[in-house]
Amino acid sequence: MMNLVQACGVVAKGRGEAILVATMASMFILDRIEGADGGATGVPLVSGKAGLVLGLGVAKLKTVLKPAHAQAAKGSAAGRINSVPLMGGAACLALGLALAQPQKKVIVLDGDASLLLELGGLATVAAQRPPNLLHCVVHNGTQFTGLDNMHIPTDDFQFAEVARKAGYAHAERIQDGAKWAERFPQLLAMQGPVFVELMVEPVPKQTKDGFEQAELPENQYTRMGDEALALQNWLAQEAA
Amino acid sequence: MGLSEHSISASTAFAALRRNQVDHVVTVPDWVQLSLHERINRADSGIKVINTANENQAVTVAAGLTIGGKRPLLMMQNQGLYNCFNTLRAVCLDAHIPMVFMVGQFGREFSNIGHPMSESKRSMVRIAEPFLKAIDLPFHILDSDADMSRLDQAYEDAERLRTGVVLLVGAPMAWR
Repeated sequence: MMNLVQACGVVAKGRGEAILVATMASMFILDRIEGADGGATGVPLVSGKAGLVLGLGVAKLKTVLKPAHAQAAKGSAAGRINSVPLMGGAACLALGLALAQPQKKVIVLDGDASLLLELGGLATVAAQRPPNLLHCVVHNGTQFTGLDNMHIPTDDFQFAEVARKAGYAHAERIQDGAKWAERFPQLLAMQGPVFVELMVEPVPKQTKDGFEQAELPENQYTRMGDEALALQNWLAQEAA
Repeated sequence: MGLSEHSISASTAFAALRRNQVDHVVTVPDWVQLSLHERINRADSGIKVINTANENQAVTVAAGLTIGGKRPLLMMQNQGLYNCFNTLRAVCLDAHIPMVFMVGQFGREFSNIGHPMSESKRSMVRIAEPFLKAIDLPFHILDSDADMSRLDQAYEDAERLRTGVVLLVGAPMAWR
């Protein structure tokens, strides 16, 4: 299995001018690794828990060494919108973007619990056959990953298999981070809709007796609107 | 007044969609608006129809279309509106993405047509207006052909206020 920094880092490093729609767990990682250029530059993508710690550690070091860049990178990089707080919304938000912007690639970094909540969305996406959509799901079997790691309703749901049967043009499951890095540009170049199920290790949980939950930051409740406006402007500028 | 006085014709409604440059209809189809669905589904309508598996998906697809520069209309029935409340909350109330809904008052007794919807004996009809008031979403009632000008107002308001605007369709649309 790959870790979450590998799963998200490959997308951050390789997406280029593609639109990216993310869910909560991926958003947290992308926020930390993207850096001012949006490309996770310099963040190593190494497997295992050590790789997770190393990747996040390098990202944190970058913010210490280059605070101006870190400030500039606060929030999402250009072209990213997060379906937060809206569990289940990412895939069809991406579908709408893909249909509206057929000349652009659209990537969605979905969550397993999120996709299960709107599993019928696979049929909705497949029926429209957007050739420019790459739908990735982070399959780590947990909700609130890295906090309490609550289990999703089913242990071994075959997301790729279900997407294939729903009518996606191509679907596959990838376990290994190096294989994901190799396959990503190929999958992005394919005629969609393409689906890839990424088998990801849960981030170690923090909770234990005596743990105190911190309040979530205010921008978690407002950022989707800000990102929608920013994305609208970004697309308008590109079209001009 | 009979049902015919309260039936919006599909041709009038369709003309209003074209006038407002609607390019996509995102929908879980509605019994009340069947004749309009039929008109939009024709190959020459110039409007792309996206059927979704549920109304949450309709709202998020419409959000993506709107961000991407398109002008969608959502069509669903009252039950669908209640079904997608959390998505509507996130997209229209919190993220302020403008969109317009045409929502059929499915289940409305014909004997209630011409009377306040709040007097309907059926909950799905009766709660529509208080529900929309409670969630602070602007809405209008469409009761006759003349009311279709409210679609123009709805798009103007949705874009100016950056929110969702709902048009409640009170009676089955006429097949003309």
